[in-house]
Amino acid sequence: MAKKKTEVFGGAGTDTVIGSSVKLKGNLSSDGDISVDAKMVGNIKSGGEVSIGPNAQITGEIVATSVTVAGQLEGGIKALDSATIMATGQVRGDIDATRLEIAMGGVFIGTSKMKAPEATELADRGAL
Amino acid sequence: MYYYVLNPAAGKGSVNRLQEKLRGRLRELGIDGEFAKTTGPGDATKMTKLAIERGYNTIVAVGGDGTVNEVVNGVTKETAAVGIVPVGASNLLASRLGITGWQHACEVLAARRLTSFGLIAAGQNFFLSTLTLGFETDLDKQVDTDPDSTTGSRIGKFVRGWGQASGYDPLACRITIDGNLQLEAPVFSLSVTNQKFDNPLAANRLQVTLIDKPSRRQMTTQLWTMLKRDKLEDGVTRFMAKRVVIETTPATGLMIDGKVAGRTPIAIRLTERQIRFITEKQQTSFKQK
Repeated sequence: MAKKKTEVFGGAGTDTVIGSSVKLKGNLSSDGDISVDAKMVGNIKSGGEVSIGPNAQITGEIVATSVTVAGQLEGGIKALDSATIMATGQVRGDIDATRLEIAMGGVFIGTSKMKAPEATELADRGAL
Repeated sequence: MYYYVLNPAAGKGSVNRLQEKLRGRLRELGIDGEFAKTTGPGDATKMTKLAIERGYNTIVAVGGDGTVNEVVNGVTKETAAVGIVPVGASNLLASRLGITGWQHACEVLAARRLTSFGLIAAGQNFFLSTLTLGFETDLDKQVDTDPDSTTGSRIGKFVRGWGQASGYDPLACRITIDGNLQLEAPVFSLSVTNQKFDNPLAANRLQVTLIDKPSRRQMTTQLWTMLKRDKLEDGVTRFMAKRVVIETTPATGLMIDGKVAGRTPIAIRLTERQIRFITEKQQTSFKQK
């Protein structure tokens, strides 16, 4: 089957990789990183990083340390650290994260709630 | 006490040619024991059960993946240890434990470093290393995929495999994961293994890997990678689970540790049973492949 895009999502170090030819229904959870480039209805929970690939169409909530969206997400994001919407990414839902980044061309329809970083974290970033 | 289960049919009879040299080397290393030959399929399982009942605490499979699988299916006590002297046509399991040949295997047995692996149940069968279905399985049925084979013979397998791969129709596959997640995908090849074989520091978990049918360009790379038993990354879906139920349309044959064993649909689960294997390295110093 032909893929819409040839980009491979999820590197060798990613624990769970769901490719573009897959359809998933149900909740996906892992202590490690998760990369999804598939059609999916269900929630994703990860103790690490979640990457949503450019071919992905997901209906569900994502809870993780950090989330990167390059595909379509219908649902909210709760990220302990960062949420990133790439140029090809579309998020229709609320985002709750410490840091939020939306690339030029990225779509975000919803509300965002951001937690102020701790003083130590600001110092780490060189802001103090 | 060591009990050696020899499969005379393994490796086109190489066991018979090797037997005296093997016994001599084992004696030098102080780990000689009882030698017993199998006479047909299923024998190694029965012999292992009897040997453990008689008090042997180390059972060594002298053969290929099929012999090891039969021995594993006969291990009834978790305190027993299993060793491998790889002399079969397919020695994937030994290779994954870091054992490269019969002489190296003797040294590994003498060093007796033990690592426990969770046993996986697939229908009525138990296995440790790998269950496959799809194109790779069909290829394995027809060509010898010894990981130690030479580049020349691998090219021959590659040419035959390429011809088959280009005409192979993917299977419509449906997998129920841990009872709550449904996955559907066209599958060119699928494997289920214990992730601990890839990373001995990891917990026992089923690692399920699905491969999309590659384009003609990708097929060359993928086929070569499969024959080298290296890891594929392109077009791959991979996830961990404790239990999976695999259905395919059409139904297809399975291979367990290099041996034809049943058809889909199949339920596969990680059991509580552990098998102690004699491996090349201790977990803390295992080489990453």
